[in-house]
Amino acid sequence: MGEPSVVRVRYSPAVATSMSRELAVGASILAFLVACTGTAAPTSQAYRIGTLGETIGGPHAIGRVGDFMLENDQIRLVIADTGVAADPDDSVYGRVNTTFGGSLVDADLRRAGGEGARGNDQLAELLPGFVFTVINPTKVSVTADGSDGGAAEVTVEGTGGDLLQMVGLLNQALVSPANLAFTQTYRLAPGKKYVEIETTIKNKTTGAHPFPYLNPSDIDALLGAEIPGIGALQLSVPMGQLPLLGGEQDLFAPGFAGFNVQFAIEDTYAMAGGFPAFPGMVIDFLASKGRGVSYGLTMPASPDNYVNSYMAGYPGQDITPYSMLLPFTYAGVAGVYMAKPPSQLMPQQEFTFTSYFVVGDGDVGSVYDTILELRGVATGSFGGRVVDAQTTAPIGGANVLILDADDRPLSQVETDANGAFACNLPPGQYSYRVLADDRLTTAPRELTVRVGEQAGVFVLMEAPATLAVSVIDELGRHAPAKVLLVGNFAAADEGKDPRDFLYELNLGEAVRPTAFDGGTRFTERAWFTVDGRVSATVRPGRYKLVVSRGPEYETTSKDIELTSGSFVAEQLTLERAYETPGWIAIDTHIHSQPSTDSGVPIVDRVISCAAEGLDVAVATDHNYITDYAPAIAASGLDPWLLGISGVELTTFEMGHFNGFPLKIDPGSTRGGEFRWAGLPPADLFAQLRQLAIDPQAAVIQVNHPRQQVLGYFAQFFIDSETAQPYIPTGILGLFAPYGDEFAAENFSYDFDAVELMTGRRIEDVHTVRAPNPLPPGPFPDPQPVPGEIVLGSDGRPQFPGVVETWFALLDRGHTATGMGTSDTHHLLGHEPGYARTLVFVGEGNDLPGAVRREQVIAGIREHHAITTNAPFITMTTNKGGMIGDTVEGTNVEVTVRVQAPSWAKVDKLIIYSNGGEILVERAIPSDQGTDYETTVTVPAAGDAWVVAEATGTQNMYPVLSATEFPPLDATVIINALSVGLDLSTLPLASSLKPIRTHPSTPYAITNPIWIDRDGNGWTPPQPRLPKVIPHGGPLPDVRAQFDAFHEVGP
Amino acid sequence: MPPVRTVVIQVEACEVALLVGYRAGNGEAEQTLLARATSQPKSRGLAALRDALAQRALGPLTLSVDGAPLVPTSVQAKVGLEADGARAMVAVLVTYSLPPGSSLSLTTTDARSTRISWADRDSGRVEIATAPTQGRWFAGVASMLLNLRPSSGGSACGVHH
Repeated sequence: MGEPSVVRVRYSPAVATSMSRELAVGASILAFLVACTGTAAPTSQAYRIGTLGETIGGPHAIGRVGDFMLENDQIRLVIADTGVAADPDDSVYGRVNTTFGGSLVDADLRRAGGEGARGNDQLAELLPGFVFTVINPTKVSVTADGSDGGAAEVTVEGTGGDLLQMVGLLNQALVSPANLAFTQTYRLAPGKKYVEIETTIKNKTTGAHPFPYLNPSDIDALLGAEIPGIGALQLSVPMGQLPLLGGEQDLFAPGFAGFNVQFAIEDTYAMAGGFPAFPGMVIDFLASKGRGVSYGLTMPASPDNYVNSYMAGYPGQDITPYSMLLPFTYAGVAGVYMAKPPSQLMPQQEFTFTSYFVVGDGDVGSVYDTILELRGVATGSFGGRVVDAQTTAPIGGANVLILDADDRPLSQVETDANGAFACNLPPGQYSYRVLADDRLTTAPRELTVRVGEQAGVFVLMEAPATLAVSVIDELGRHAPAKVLLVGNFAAADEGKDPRDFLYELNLGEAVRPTAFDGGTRFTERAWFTVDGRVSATVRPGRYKLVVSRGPEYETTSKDIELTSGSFVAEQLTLERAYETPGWIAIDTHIHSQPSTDSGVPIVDRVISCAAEGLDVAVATDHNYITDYAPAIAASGLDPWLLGISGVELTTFEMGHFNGFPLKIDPGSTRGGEFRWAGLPPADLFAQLRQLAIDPQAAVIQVNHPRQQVLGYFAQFFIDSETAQPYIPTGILGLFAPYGDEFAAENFSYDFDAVELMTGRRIEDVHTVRAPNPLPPGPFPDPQPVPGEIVLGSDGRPQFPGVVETWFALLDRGHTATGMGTSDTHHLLGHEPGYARTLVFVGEGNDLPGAVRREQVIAGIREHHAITTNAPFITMTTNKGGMIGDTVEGTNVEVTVRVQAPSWAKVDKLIIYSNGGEILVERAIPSDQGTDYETTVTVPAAGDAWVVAEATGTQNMYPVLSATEFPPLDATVIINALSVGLDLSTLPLASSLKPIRTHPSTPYAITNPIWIDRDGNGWTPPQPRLPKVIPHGGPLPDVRAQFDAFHEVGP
Repeated sequence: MPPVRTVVIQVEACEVALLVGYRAGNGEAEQTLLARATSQPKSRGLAALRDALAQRALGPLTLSVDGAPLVPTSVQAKVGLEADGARAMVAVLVTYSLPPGSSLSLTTTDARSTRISWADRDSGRVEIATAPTQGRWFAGVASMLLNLRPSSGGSACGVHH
């Protein structure tokens, strides 16, 4: 770390005057605004929204006419209406992120400019959680309109609903919501930057209602055969709030987590004390940091809140009277559990708990200031200015991290455009550090805060280097391109977890992706440029400058050295790796700011797509129809990129489905009106077609079909051999969704496309086989056979692959086009276009910026498509035709050519046909890894399909990042809940799982060529009978198993 | 979280190889054990952890022929991570010469945490027809008994590695 000069100033007259001047100016502005609004004193009000102009606005705002506004002179909030209409057809379930209405959906500071001003809401949603029971609202009303000068209130009343049907049994066992009435009141007092939330449950029956509702023996009877030992557990019933703070907000919890919330929670699972305490991280408060607005959650002090009641379950964690439990953060949903109900509620008895939701200015410090005020803590203030050591120019947007006496993050403040910052702190000893992306982080400096006093500092940060890069392509054009700075860390750190030395997530530093190959390379920065030009300040260091433009180009690199204060300019030229005449590259699954779990501005998103060599980008935000056209035009990308409007219809547990190209409804706060909750798949698909520009020429795409909870095939238990739903048994059956819409007969094949590869998740592509030799167990029964498919207790593949299921669909005539997509939500580390789909639009039609939307859609619907993250496969036959075409004849000769850039060479080619049988498997010589061709004869006894797949083992870093950390998925939560149980013999917690951390390696697979043997039209091959997978092969040799077991080094 | 111990008994013509996998639990005893091991000097830390876990892994187990406990001919241990990378575990490979006898048994004093499985590698020593199913885990059992055929081993048996 750098050792910049830091001058500590206990308020020199100059600094004090400067800060006082700023405060005085701020106060004047406030007084002016107050005068302009005509209100003499702060007030609050609550009312039903009557016009769109009354809503808040902002990147994630979805409040609309009919919802409820709760506002005062400081903040504004929107609570959604119930969503239930008199005409059921007009009811809108799932308008927001979760199934029901009545939640807090928008929150922002009051902005200057009155009704016409655009807000900055970034909140996704907040709703109460009773374990996983939520309120299904029957009524939302204004219970105090604020006209009396007091607090204004909006109250939500309702019955219990399941956040997820999959956990309905758990809710029933612990909460039994059918007996209870639920109420949540939002109360906003004048002048306050927080809303008080009062949550009440009431026993509406004539008998006592215990918590947990069922006895352990009853739970054992319900689940015991499937979860041994559950009857011996004492369980608890945590209650609190479920904040979805939004993808643009970085979560923060004071203590060892800081900004490293996700991994810190996972660390606490390992030290959990076991039930009745649910596992998770104990936090004093939850806050966030975002662009111009931030949020926080806290509760009043209570010696018998949930965490304090089960203190023994959280060894090694700091517990205070304000402690709350953060057991998970998954897919943008966090659970913050605060309260423990009494052991039973008598008839008509109520239980109430209180929490506070805070709106801040964009940093944690502004939230913490309000929390300290709420707690009545006497404070001193800490402030100062951060400037460049060389030029003394102010550094805006720097993060000042305040650390407690144990060097753990307590708060964070952002400097303004003048480099100034200020916050309040309880009295005590602290230290602070200043971080900026392009500078070395300052060393810790000590700080003492005393009540009523002001501590000030003047921080000098070492100057960055300035880098200017200009990239031209092989035609001399300033084309969009990606510029990377790749560094090397010390050899002594090889093999170590980069979180321990390369960056400090808890301080808010971003991940610096490493090559994940045992070496020392890491990516310091990446820029996605409109025209190959970038000028930026960066941390000094020795780097390799690398430029790329997607798989069709080689990379070009140059070693550079950047020193503090220096200026370096470079020009590099890109060279083409291969030509793709008639083909365009498209990514049909992309997220940006309108998605609740993405913070990428739309302009940055379209630039990143172009820089990765995509020709077409389909906008597919969660339940939001986005139009890329304005951003493409504004950034001058019209000659390079075509945008297509679409949506990812995001259900909670039925799957995710993309629809494009769609119309944009400017009158809707979501770009269009649609419903995702409670509908069977056929209705969802029909809805998407109705939203399409041309329903006859729309594409309905099934996303990540095998992903647990979020995958359509997984949630309907689609057999990978027959492509038909089966009824799950055992524990899978117990935790399957129960709604009518999930009935097996409701499974619909009316989709046009299916993702074969989503992002970098190569492990989901093919059915998982046991490694050879096996690692030591335990394994669930049946015992795995090395090299063979890992089976579940029902004899089916435990981790079926997407491609095998797609083959089964092809066999049965369900000819959905196989697609590759990125499902990108971020930028570096989650690059768009990997995977992508190459679509044939016709020779001459593939010029950048000239391809038309209709040509692209036709190419997809006609199966002229290749899934790929780099290799380009072409297939032709001696009967004519190409990928997606039908050819006639027997003994068809198929010529396959594979091309790839030198940074993504292929080394294996497999050709599949009916039933997923391998016709040919060829090792590609290393000297042909960028261009290989072969011809095979397909001896079709009947009509057939032929698909080619090319793979490689080369690490594609730095163009495509590795997956260094396991993606969060539902099994993380299941594992956390299993801490008190031994599920190791159950399929859910099998020791044999797909390997989720790995470098990114080349992969491509084509859509079929269809062979019509008799020329009388292609008919699907006879559906295969479910294959009896041979089992009981030779058992593993324990000596070989022991030898293969990897011992950790010192 | 309770500890988990898996034991695979591999019967060969002249030897028995035992592969024991052990993952410590979250209980106080286990935590004390781990704390003691990891408080050793850094150069000894990993070895101490391995030894401590191996002791816990093997401690409750006894392999006997006709009631007479067998003495190991070799013991090797490795400390690593479970397949999902979350928790430390030890793998211990223990070999024994297999003398003539009528029954081979593995007993454990910690049935609750132990799963036992067995496999025959063309040993010709076990009465397969009366033996428990190979390759399946038996949980919560205090012992596993295998009937042995009259031995055809003896001087023909060499030492396996």
